[in-house]
Amino acid sequence: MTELTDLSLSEVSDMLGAGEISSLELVEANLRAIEKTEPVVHAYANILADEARAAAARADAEMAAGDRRGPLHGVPIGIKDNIYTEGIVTESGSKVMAGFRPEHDATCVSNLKRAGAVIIGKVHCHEFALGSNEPPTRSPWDLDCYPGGSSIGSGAAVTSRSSFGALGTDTGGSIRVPSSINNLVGMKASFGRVSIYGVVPVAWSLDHVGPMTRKVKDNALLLGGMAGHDPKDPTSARQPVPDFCADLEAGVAGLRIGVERDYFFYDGLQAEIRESVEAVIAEYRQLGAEIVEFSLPELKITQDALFTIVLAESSTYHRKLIREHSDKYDPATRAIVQLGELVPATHYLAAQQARSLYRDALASAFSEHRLDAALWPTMPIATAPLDQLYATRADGYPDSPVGSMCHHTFNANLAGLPALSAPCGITSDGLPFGFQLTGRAFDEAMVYRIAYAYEREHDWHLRKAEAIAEL
Amino acid sequence: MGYGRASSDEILEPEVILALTKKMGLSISGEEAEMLTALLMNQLAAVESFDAFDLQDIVPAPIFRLKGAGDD
Repeated sequence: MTELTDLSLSEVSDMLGAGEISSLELVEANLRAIEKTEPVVHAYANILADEARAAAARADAEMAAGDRRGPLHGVPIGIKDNIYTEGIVTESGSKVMAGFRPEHDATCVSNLKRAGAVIIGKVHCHEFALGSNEPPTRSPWDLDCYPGGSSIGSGAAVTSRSSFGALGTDTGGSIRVPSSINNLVGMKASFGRVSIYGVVPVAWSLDHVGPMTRKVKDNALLLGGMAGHDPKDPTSARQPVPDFCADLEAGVAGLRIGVERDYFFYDGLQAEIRESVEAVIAEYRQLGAEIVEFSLPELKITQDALFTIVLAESSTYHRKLIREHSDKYDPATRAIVQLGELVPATHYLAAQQARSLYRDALASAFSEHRLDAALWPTMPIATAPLDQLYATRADGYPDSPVGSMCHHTFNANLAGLPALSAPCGITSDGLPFGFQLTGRAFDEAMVYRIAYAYEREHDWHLRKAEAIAEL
Repeated sequence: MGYGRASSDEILEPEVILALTKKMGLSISGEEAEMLTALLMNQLAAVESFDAFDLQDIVPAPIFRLKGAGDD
């Protein structure tokens, strides 16, 4: 018999709409999964059992009265702990914010509440989405391995079946990296698509909030519930929110998908990932898409540009806090924040020039080749053991796993374009990985359409994490 | 000891970083100054990668809205 928690967000949404299950049943199923997996996985910073039960009961009563707000009504969701939740402890993974209870919700949270979603808990993040978290969250696929960050609890919770979806934040890859590692779908939408009001900043010009789910349709539904213009956020775009699911079934025949090989298919790309992503490309061709090879030498400067911007902007946010609470920061976070204060203003602006250069070059490539999306691996490696993150890579490539992880993701934050990771394989060691689709500005619907065309031909998204299967 | 990039003779002494950060109001230990100096030397070299391109006439990206955002 299928466990309720094995169903995806869109499946339970349909069942809620048909009156076949209740929101309270879903919450109780998630809480049972939490009880089972939390002792080893550590996904949750704060489990909101009572609040979730109360919200679910309200949702059930509303739906019983014929007042269903939409597809997220009654669906339990996890929220990353750097996203404000009114009256609920929000610590951003840091002792600096110990006990902090925001007086308001982040706009993405208030939008989800308005849509009827139920907050099942706050999930762990790296300290201020920069450092690490202790005790470490563990990968449900291999408890000795890193589950990806900084949305580390978001990925682990959805994979552990202890929530049907979760919100992550992404400044350089923090939605897509844990999604790749956890066999999930993760979307960093266009810059400005989802309000960042009420999200603890890492770098204002690069920060995004987005959904992490098991399936493409789940993700499209969750993004639809979060997105929209917000006058409280100066970076928010006045863009209408379309039905992101409307064209899911439209297929890829006649679409043009770009592939850049010099940067993304480099020597550091793990062989099994290379082989699988090549198979994804071949499959899209078979499904009728035109694959267009292009080169983009400007990609070489994206890592240095992004890291310089992150250092300068994050240290500006922490300027007062680091002086008042230096001893409360984890040493790794403190070093990043202190380092950022020493980045010359000219270097910060040079990095923003480099960003302009890259953004324009990518836009030109999309325009010149009439691309609907571009495709490459989400990460060059699957993941690494928790105690080997800063060591030389196990395959001998002269970089650390941490150094490699965001090699393929930084560029989308610089460009502000929508980028999604979707599952496409599992290594011989049993570790999942994904491919990444980057789309045109505010065309998330096209990204979902292309991702779904692959997903419906495969069952990667149905695979369950081995390490927690026997719990 | 001082730190420098392997390709250059430039050296930055941790004592300088210690004094500078103190002046800026940051509280760091001697050990942290050593680490911060190494990190800073590496970070300062990062900008060199940009020199592969001509950035002279490029306006730095501000906190931006994407073209087509329809809000101007």
